[in-house]
Amino acid sequence: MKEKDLYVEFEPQKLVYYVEKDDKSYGPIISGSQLSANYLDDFWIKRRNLEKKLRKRIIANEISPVFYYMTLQEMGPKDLASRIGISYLKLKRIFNPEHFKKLKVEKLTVLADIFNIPVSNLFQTFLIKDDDREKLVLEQETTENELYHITKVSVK
Amino acid sequence: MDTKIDFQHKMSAHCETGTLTSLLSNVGLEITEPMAFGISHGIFFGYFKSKNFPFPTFIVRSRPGEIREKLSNALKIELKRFKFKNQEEGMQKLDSLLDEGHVVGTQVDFFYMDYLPEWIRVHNNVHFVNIIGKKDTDYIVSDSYHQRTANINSSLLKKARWAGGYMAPNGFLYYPLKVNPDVDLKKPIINGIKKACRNMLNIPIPFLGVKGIYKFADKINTWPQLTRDIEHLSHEIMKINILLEDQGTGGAGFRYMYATFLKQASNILNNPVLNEMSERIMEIGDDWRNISYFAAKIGKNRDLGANRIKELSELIRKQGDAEKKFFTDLKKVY
Amino acid sequence: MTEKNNPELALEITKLIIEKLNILHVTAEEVNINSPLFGDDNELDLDSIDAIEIVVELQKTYGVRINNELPVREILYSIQSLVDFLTKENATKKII
Repeated sequence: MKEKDLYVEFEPQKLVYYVEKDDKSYGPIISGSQLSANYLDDFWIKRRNLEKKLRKRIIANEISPVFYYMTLQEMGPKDLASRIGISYLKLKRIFNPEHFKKLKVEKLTVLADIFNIPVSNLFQTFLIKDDDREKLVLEQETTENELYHITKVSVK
Repeated sequence: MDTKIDFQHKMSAHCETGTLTSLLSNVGLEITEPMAFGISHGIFFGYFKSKNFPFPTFIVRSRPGEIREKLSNALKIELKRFKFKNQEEGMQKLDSLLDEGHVVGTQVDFFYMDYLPEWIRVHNNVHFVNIIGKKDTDYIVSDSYHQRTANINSSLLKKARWAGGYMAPNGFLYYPLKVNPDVDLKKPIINGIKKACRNMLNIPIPFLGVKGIYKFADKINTWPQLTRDIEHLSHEIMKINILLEDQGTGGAGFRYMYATFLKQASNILNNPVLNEMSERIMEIGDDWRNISYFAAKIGKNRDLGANRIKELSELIRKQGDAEKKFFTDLKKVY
Repeated sequence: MTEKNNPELALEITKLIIEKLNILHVTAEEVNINSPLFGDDNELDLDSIDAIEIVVELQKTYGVRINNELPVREILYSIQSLVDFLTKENATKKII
């Protein structure tokens, strides 16, 4: 592909591609991601819709937050089971809210660590209206107590 | 103790080749990313359905780690490698290597690289970055996918280095100990080409090599039945674009990088046939890129009926035919 | 030539698979060496991707190659079938 046909302007995500240059040689250029430049909005629409659907299922006691985060973070169930140190069959049980509720705090901490979330986020969601996303900043800080996090909401 | 080693950061097409060639350049061996990729016969294809992944997927390069190992064997590069079960030991080793002035390659879970855009970060245990220093509780990272060096908190780096699961990093570190700056590339290039052809044509497993492309072409027709809803199908179809273009392949599922390798090889070996082959695989790459665009478009428009999926399937099948012919012809060159 | 029933080799192979595939929910001693390694609900949770990893590890550790002429499915059926294959190939662990 020729350099001029491939290049896209998109500052937030750049990649190196190999292209045919004007002098017919092949070499690297840095370009913006064509996919992100053109389709990022669609990604976020699908993502928010998925969050909403999964949240409804948690509220309806159909799935546990483990299934929620595994799905959103696009993890394979066997991969997640291995990271936790349990079998795939045991993980499937934890997708069930009744089994999830019986988990010890220690296991919840392991799960939260894998998902890179405060353990309290296994029990809550912060909802920000689309119109407010540009104006607000949500920060969650760890403390020396691994079970205790501080959530700060501020205006940009 | 704060450390920063004098190191030329640059973006690269792919993390394993980028990390490795940067490390080698730092110790006096200059080799281009495409050359490293070609000599280590990195070009490949495989179609996988596994509970290790959230959905069927495909790969477009050899097994992670193989580029490093094959290149170092081919060019007689001496590497020092470490794996650690104990995380404290693994972090201490990293610190002592940095204090000794070594830039260190590490394997990490991509998800935890919080300096990269949120929407691209997925759990993928086979990301490679170079650590070039330490400042307070942060490490200084040279990541091929980032425009400049970045800082990552030590606890997050620890989490990334010891993420469990599929292809777990286990704290893997490496750095080059000894290189030959004047190494002759001719024989390694020829061996790399032969092995790439063998891998694409001769592996007796039905989802690997060219067979893998045909498997993908068949199986994509089943994807609608595997998805939750139309938006899920849209996401998975559009991921084809990510896997071919966006996840660090140099474009067209590494085919552009391989084209560049063959062009460079043609000059080194003084063989014009390799130049023709480089143009052919560049065209095959253009067809893969067209598939990426097509997947993105139909995914965005939710134009994902059976006929449209079949159309995509046929485009992929044609790639199978093209690559079968290409690698069969390339095999004949040497 | 090693015996067909080779419990040491069976344990060695099981440990190799468990370590390389990061299997944490079962110990090598607990694995039934005659159970299918693949297929629904196998005790190690293995699938086709793991088959490739096993083939690669066999090559690295024992220097054996599974090629076009060999019945891959039969070789990878169980730990015991892997033992039989390595025994036939007279393979021993490479000293690194």
